[in-house]
Amino acid sequence: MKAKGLEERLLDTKKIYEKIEIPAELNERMGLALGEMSKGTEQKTEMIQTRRDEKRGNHMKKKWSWKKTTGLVAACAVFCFTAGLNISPTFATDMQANPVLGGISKVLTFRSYEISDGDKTISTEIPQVDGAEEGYSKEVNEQIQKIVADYEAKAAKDIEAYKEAFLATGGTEEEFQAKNIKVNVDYEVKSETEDILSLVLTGYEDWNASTAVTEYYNINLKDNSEITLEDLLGPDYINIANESIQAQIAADSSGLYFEEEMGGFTTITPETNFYINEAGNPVIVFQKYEIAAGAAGMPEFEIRK
Amino acid sequence: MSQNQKEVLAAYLIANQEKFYRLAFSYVRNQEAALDIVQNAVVKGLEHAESIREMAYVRTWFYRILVNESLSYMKKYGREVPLEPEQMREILDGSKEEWQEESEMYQAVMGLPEEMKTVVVLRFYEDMTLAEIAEVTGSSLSQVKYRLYTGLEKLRQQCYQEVAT
Repeated sequence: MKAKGLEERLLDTKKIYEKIEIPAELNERMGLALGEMSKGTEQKTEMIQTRRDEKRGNHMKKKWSWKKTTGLVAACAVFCFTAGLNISPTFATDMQANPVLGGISKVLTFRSYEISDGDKTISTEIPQVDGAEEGYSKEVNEQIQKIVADYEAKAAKDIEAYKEAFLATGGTEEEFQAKNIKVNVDYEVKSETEDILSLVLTGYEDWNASTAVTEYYNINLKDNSEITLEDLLGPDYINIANESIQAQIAADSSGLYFEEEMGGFTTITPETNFYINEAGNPVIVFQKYEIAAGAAGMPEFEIRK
Repeated sequence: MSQNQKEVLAAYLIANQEKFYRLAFSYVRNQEAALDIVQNAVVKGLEHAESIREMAYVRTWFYRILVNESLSYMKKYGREVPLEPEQMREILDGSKEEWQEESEMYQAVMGLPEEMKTVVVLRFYEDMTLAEIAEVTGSSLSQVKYRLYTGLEKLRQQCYQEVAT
């Protein structure tokens, strides 16, 4: 083998470095980050600014709003919460009297619609607990309705901001429409028995994974209350779940989980998200990046009772 | 900052986005993470755009933000985010035979401790001068030299044992 000098060999490796594949998403991320920064003419900039002024009804003129871009990124941050549910006792009787609906769920029905304008298509399926004309059951439905409406509104705003950034950085209206951006709001029944309904509501915008929203609802149909981890695992649920999760992480060979001192898993809390699987066991779900590298997605841990 | 300067900055950022991505990727070796870093660095850069005094220094100014962002990302989310298997394959695809020697050296560079890796990557892949690297890393020229030479020594030990015969 020819003995090349070290620096020469190092320079040779530059071609491998330059082969690092550039994801298509980079351009979009740049557009997002640049926000209203424009490489175009001053005219174009003014146009964008004026449009925004009209909407806000203020008189900010041609002032570069650096904060705006930060706000946008912050707005994309994933939010997640488990809603506390309480359903009135009469509700269970009502529900059991209900006929089976569509073979999907005995207690759920859904409303589905699709809204499409030139820039995006929003497809929505809203689950609704049946027979919920009063009391807490109604609250559950209202909460789902509100979350869905908020998510759609936020998605529309995100996409509008993205479009502005896209146009401002040299994209055309046609190119943007060709992206055919989709927003989906959907739900999944994780398990359903006579006593339990475990349901996950999801929302995502297909152009930006960081806008995804996931909500978990675990309902005890017998006494019409929210099912907690304590209900499933007993008063020592935190230790039980922690031990199980730590063992599962230790057995994992992917190397994706962060070390504890690097922000990895330490403990669950009463607010930790979970659903209930077919076996009736709680499955604890962490957010992307919460305890592992993004490549791990949203890590799930079944805690066997 | 004048309107014209802003346009120069935006044009510079757009034109060099692939370089930014590669640099971020060389630290975290993960697509999602590298995208996050570039996006955050650009947002931070725009926030602090007023701090560029001369547009001639925009490159070292922005690389400093980008390198800091990459390092703090790793501090926050763990040092070793492994390369996803498909990405590894894509990078080394077709290079197995013909580039075997290079990829061995490349992997050794990627495996260097961050401080040395930063200097080696900026010097050999981004063609920066040692003075520019000192500016990017916020260190003195002699510190940069020290890191470069210890880095090169490490690479020599790793890659020249088999080749020496």
